Amino acid sequence: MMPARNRTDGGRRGILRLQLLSLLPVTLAAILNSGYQYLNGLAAAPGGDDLRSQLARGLASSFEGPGLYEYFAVGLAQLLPMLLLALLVGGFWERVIAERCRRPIEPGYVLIALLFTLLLPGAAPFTHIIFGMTCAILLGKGVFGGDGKSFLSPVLLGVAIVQVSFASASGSHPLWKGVAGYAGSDAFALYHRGGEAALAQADIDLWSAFFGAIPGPMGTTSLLAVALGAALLLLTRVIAWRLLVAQIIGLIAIATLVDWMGAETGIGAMPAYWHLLLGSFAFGAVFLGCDPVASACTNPGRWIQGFLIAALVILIRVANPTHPDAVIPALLLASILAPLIDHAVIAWNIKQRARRHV
Amino acid sequence: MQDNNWRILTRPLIDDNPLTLQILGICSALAVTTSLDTALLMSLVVVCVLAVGSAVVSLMRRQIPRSVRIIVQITVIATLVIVVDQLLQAYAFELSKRLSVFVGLIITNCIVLGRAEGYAMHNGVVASTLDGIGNGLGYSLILIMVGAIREFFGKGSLLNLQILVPTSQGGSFEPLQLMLLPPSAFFIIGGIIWLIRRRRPRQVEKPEFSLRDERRISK
Repeated sequence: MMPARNRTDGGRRGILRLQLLSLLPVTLAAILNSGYQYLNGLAAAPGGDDLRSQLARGLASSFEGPGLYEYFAVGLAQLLPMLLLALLVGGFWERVIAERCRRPIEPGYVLIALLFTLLLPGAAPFTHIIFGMTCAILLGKGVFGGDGKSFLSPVLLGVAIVQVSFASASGSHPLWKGVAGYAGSDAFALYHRGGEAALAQADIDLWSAFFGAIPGPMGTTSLLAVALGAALLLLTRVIAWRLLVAQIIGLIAIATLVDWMGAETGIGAMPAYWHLLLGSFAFGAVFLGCDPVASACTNPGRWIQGFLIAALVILIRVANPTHPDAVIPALLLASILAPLIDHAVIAWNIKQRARRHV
Repeated sequence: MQDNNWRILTRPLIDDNPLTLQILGICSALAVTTSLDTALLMSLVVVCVLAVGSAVVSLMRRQIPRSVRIIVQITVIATLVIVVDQLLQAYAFELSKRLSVFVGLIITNCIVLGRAEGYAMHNGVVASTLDGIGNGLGYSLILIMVGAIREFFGKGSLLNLQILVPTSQGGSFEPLQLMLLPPSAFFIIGGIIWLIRRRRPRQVEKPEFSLRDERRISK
């Protein structure tokens, strides 16, 4: 009766499966790194008394010494409860909306929950997850869209609302190393405060940043894992290569430009490779900036949006000290502008063609 | 007649609410609702200005030449607002400082001019006054709801009485900073509009278009 709809739904589900698969390396890296960061933090500070900390400490003591298995077990104890809670909250609201609107349950909330969790710090309080996922599904998915129709990514909305709402969700808050009471913070915030010297003091070099053994939002630390996911998405053509290339070239070009313009210290003097390695730019560019639904869909529009995202990231990073890792607001703003960019490109194209045929 | 006057007074509360149905006066509703006390004071001021303004315009309605009627209405409203502003500065200086320019901006509040032009110019004094009070109360109702929600979730207090202890003072309540920023008022007013229109489906506007997919599913 409805072959067309079945086909589009099947296609949508296939894309969803690919997107989830592409997040596998990132998730693995997130688990390993959260475990590593947690145990690192535990060596420096006693940690909190809450259930999660106790669980992780118990796990840590059941291994003989630090090693991959231990990191994995402790990291899993960090990430899994958060992911399950996000899935639970997302699934609950998705069910409520589906019943109210008399439509089948859309499986997109699984991807939203996974991306949302990966963008949180390792010890994000459960209230943040509940609040953020509620906003993401109710506002981002229920009110303003749905699978394949969102005008901006519900993940972005959820994370942005959490970051704006709670002081402890900002990158420089002590929660961020994964252990309550330990005054570590996001690697980007470290650079923000002390430049290269602070990074060296925290044992962060180019390689550890590339493999992702640095503190930061769980899923965003490893450039290697993000690149693997990006390769899969590019090969299967789920994301547009122009958007991704534009973002990366834009970031490198604009960061170098700002560097040239003569800032001596701070983010203005930060070399382009650190911009790419620290903070959540790589993750955001691949999994959110190239969102197949909410980004520009004309080829010139993709170049424009990519450069716009890069420019906004650098602009906010350099100009706004209260929001060190500017990826989420930059992506949100560019995503809102995407339909406008497309509209302008199409109007320009129509005008060009009309002029050719007078 | 009694019944009719009662309708004039109560219709703007929900059925014809200036904020949630006509979407007027949104600007001040965003600006003064970060706490309940400013919302209450603003409500009081707007009710007074609307009631007296509508009454005065209604009294003058046969003398006002049509070509300059807006100017005359604005003059009446501006006079009232300035008087109220001076009174506030004299008797509630701290609060009036927090309301800052928004008392002065009542002059340009669409609700006040809208009721003067749309109702008081064509109706008697009693009806116009009731209509002014009703619209003021309708505006106040939403303002107070938004102010209460924002102050409660943003600071954990109501009317500056601390109800939930924030984490900064050792409690377990983490204040929602979002609630203290203007966008939250948009979300809350949107939610209130949605609630009202679920109860009163007559207020729901016809969609300008519907997606093809959805039409087919509904069949």
